[in-house]
Amino acid sequence: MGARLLVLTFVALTAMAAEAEYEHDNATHAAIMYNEFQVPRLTQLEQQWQKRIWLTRVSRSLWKGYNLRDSRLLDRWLQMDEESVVLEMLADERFLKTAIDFGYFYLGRKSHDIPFSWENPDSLMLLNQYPNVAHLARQLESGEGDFFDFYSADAPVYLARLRNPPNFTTDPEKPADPNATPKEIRERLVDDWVLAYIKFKEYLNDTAKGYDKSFFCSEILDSAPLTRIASFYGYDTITFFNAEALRQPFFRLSAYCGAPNGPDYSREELLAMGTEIHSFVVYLHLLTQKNYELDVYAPRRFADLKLIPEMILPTQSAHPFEMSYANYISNNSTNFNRKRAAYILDRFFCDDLTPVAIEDSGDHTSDKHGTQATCMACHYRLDPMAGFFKSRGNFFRNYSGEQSIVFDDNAVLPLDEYVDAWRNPADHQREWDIGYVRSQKDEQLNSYGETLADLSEILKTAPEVRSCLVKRVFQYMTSSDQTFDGDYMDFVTATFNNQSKQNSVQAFKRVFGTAALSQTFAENDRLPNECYDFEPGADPANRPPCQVASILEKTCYKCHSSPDGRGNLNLDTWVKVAPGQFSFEHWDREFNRVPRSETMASIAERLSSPNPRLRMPKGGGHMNAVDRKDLYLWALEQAGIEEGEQP
Amino acid sequence: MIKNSVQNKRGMKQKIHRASLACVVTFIGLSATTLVSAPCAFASVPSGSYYGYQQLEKRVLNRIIKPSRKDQWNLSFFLTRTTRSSSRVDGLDRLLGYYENGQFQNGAPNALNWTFASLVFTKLSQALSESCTGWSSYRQWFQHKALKATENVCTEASNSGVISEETLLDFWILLMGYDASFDEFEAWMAFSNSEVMRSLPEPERVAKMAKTILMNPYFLIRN
Repeated sequence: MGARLLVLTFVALTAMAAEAEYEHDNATHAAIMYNEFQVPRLTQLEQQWQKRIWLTRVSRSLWKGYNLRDSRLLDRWLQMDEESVVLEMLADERFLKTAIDFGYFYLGRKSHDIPFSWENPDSLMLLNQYPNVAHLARQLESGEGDFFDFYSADAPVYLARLRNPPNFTTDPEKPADPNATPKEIRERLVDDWVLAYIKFKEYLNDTAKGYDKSFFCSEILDSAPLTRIASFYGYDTITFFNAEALRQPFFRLSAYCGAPNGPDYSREELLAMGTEIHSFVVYLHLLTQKNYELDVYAPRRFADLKLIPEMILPTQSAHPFEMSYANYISNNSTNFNRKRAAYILDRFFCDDLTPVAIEDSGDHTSDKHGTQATCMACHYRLDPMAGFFKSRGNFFRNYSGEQSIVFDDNAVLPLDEYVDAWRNPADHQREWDIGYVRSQKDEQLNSYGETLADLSEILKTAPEVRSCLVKRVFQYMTSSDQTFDGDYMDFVTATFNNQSKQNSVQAFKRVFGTAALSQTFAENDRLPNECYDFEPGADPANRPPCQVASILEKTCYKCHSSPDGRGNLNLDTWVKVAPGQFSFEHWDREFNRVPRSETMASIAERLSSPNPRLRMPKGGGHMNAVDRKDLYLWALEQAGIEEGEQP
Repeated sequence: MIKNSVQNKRGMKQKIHRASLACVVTFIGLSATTLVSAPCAFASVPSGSYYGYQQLEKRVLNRIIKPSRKDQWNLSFFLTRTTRSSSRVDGLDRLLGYYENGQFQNGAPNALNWTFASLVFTKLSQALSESCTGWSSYRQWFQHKALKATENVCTEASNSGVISEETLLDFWILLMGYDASFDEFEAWMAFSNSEVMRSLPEPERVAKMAKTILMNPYFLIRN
């Protein structure tokens, strides 16, 4: 107790001492700020200072942490215009480090802890876990390809580099034979598996004998040969485990034998798993026969990356976001893949699912979670998106075609029963209620599908994904909580879309260029709620605040863009209503000005009302969920700002 | 624009200051009554966050530490050096912002991490300023250009002298690079040659000059 008091007192006193010192520094600083000491101007340097700041910042951003210490480079860049500097940086291979880092950021993983380098094995391992990021880097290096492959369900999977050549000089299982060649040892591994497989097959095929699970798991199933295969290839052979032909049955058998409450399989299912593993080992055998040597593979350029050899290409490709799902986004028996759906909506649609009540359809026929109006504010988008993952269980394993599904909390459910959560009634035109839902009322606006490949197609083409991508690039280059003018974002997205028709890889690169040349990026002390860039020709004067101006223009101006607009509310101008206070023009029935807080509260209420007669926008207009959320939160915040306070 | 930016940074400093003060008061209050460490989460939270331990370490490393000493040095080096051991201070990375599962954690400045940042950079500044004394046990750790720039400052600072713009610029760029606005440099330059600073012994003056750069929000904090 006494020691604790001592420590606490010390920490408190240290903090106070630091405070006192800071106070002193601050006071001194403030005093000299007001010309206690006149300093002659460094005119020439001052003129170049801002450009030097920008060059430092842009090189750090576009060349991923590059420390601009090369004075010759700095001097040369100081003589060039900013656009030329950016183009030079984008053309340099150092930009690939930024692109890779952005790829991780885009997928929800920040990687400042492991920056990419061909020399750093950890960074290579990380990249190998994200095949779509590696593919993006390869495309950017060559300047060709299709950027939208990033979302492909069957994006190429590259062979991992081997950090250390497989140690085939001695077989730890048979140390008595130190002179065996690597090829002989590899062949021995295959032989061991074949012997184990024969025993496995015989037991399961002999239906005359009874089946005993514990006997099967302890005496018949011999996973040692497989474990040895993996151990021989070591840490870098994760690509082998990307091969579903090996991995899926291997894990299933492990789950079957390892967990007391694990899934139950019939003899036929167990046999099928053994056969799948066997086919993989046969591939390995073929590799040995063809003298395919993995140990010489150590790429130094993305162009040198090899695809997984065709002969061991997985029967079912790994999904590009697999590691994100498997490592960070678990699926337990109660969340019904909603975490994975929330991830997709957040990262690729910029929809963080802030609940704003939806229009009440009056249909509450089910007690199922998510059918009540308040719950549906999120679930109408979340649940259909979750359906794309309906057959994916623990560690993102694919359970389609099986009787049961195992979750990350080790619970097991019959698969048919589980997927019924997304099955439409028999008389419905679509079998599944799976897709990206923009409107609950108008199905024409939605994008439906069934499989992960369908989801990939939606990601490739949805306009929301394009604009979110542009926003993510700008956030990456500036700050995650920075506000951008909606019209400006639309302008950059439209440019990206146009340029993508020619070359989507170059178009993607140019978005980084646009961000680097933006005023937001150049600003020394950005304020998160302020916008610094606008569409060419736009005049921000008297315009509503940039957080919401473009949303209002798209969805509200039809009825509220003049002083005599509906409800006597004019949303297209932002006028001074009191000293230091701005608001929309809004009058009551007696043409008295409505107080600002009431106007804002009323806007928030109308946006979130479940009553179709009150809910805005009226007249069948569609407002997407993200815009509604942004406008609602902004109005709510504004409603809370005290009278006379600067909004 | 420049004035605004300075005001913004100053605003952030004041926020941090208020947050720190509130935390300290809370800390003492709770310590005295409950002897349980006080959480500082309820103090006002500034909008910026630290660059994080790794980034700060990398900055110092790139700018002043010898590449050959890279593997032996860490941000807490001069903090623990008083006992002639160079062990890493456990938890310092967690205090100054770190990555876990790819996500940045604990980046918001508060009284405790601000205190530790202050301690770390005070020690670093003192180690650098030892060059003024002619002999320093830390010389072997610093790059030649760092020693040269510091020694130039020391020489001009002797006998309460006014340090020239060029010398100050070298020293500023050495530690800050071009991460801060010109106004910040001007303010620091005036501070470095102020009466208060000129009345101090050279090592102390140089240490304070270095510390004001290293504790500058432009060095520590990102928007």
